[in-house]
Amino acid sequence: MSWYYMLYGMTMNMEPVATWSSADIALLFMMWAIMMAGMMLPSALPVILLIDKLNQQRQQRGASYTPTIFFSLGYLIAWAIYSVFITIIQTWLHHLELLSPMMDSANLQFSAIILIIAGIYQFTPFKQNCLQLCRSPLALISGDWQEGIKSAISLGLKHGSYCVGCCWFLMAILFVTGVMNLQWILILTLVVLVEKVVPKGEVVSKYLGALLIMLGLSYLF
Amino acid sequence: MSNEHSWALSMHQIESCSCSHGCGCQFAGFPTSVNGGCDAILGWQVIKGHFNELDLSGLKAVFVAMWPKAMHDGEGKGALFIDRAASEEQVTALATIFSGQAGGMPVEAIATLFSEFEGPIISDIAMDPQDHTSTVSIAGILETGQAPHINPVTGEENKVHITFPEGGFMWNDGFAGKTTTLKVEHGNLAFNYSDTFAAKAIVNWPT
Repeated sequence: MSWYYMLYGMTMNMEPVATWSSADIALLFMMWAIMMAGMMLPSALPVILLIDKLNQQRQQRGASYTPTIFFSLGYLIAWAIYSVFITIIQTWLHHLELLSPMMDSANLQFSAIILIIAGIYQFTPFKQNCLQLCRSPLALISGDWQEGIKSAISLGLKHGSYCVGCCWFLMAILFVTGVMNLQWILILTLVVLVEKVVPKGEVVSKYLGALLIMLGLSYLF
Repeated sequence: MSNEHSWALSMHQIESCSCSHGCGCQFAGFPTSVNGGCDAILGWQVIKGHFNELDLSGLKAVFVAMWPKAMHDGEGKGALFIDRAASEEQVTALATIFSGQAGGMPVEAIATLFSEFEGPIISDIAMDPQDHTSTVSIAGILETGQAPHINPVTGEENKVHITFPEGGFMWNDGFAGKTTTLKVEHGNLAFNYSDTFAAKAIVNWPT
């Protein structure tokens, strides 16, 4: 569904930011939230399926269970919260005229800085910790699983927050390429998926970091 | 955690798997084994436990599993062996608990990870839980033994611990060592390793 929206429904106000109304900003937030859902759900799918399997087991033996949708909802809430911040940041970048009305970078140095920071971020212990947590769902399920809608949402929120911690700066790359650049949306979706579900994902994440740094530097020289 | 569960088990867990030292599954969710999968024997000796009113203290069980990829990718094959000393009621209780039928973590999560599971198989289990030199065996079927790591410089034993201050996947504090043997020969459950990851911990379930 998110992808359907991104392919066919994404239209934004391309007027200079000074003329933006709060409705435009709300639309921008919606766009980010839907985009993040579309980009992150593929990599969250294995965990969601695992939770669903658990629920099927509980159902079979007649135990109470909380529909898996609530876990997914919690996961999406984490990204929605992120979308609020990134929307505010984007508005501010428009004001600074670092972003063009077309929502891509209007400034080479700015592009370079984003890419280099995104690259460096891949190597930070914080990023690697989050990646490890987001790659090993069993520990979370085993340690934090509780019955009830509230617990299911908070479990999803917790798992989602690891993923936000992992990928929040990667998403900022969209400021360089254009927030609605589908090609890059797809590339980043795949990158996130690979980092999360491939056995040596943490190695991939470092290669990616190096690549981003080099790309950023190439903008400068 | 909630205390709604009908069971509780405090057990010695003797854990041997195909990972290299410092089993990746404990930290990063992905096995650090030669083939990228996870082959493991878990030996359990109940220190104190119950299922409803039924006392389970002193019972022994062995759990064998083979996962083609990371555990959380599922599709595993497994079997549960229960020692002959258990009464029929106790066998049912242990099988109910370990198959996740009675709920509670981590068994309920682990139970989702199998596509084939056999058991309970009643057998004669020999088990000796020690900090670093545990052994588990069922004659003609499986065997695992553990040894401490040796400091390559001084030749002394390395007393290694793995601790999860905030609670780990199966246990919070375990002795880590290496396997001397780790082999199973039971139908399509078959593997043979040595010098791989070994841990010995006290588990208190449900977590």
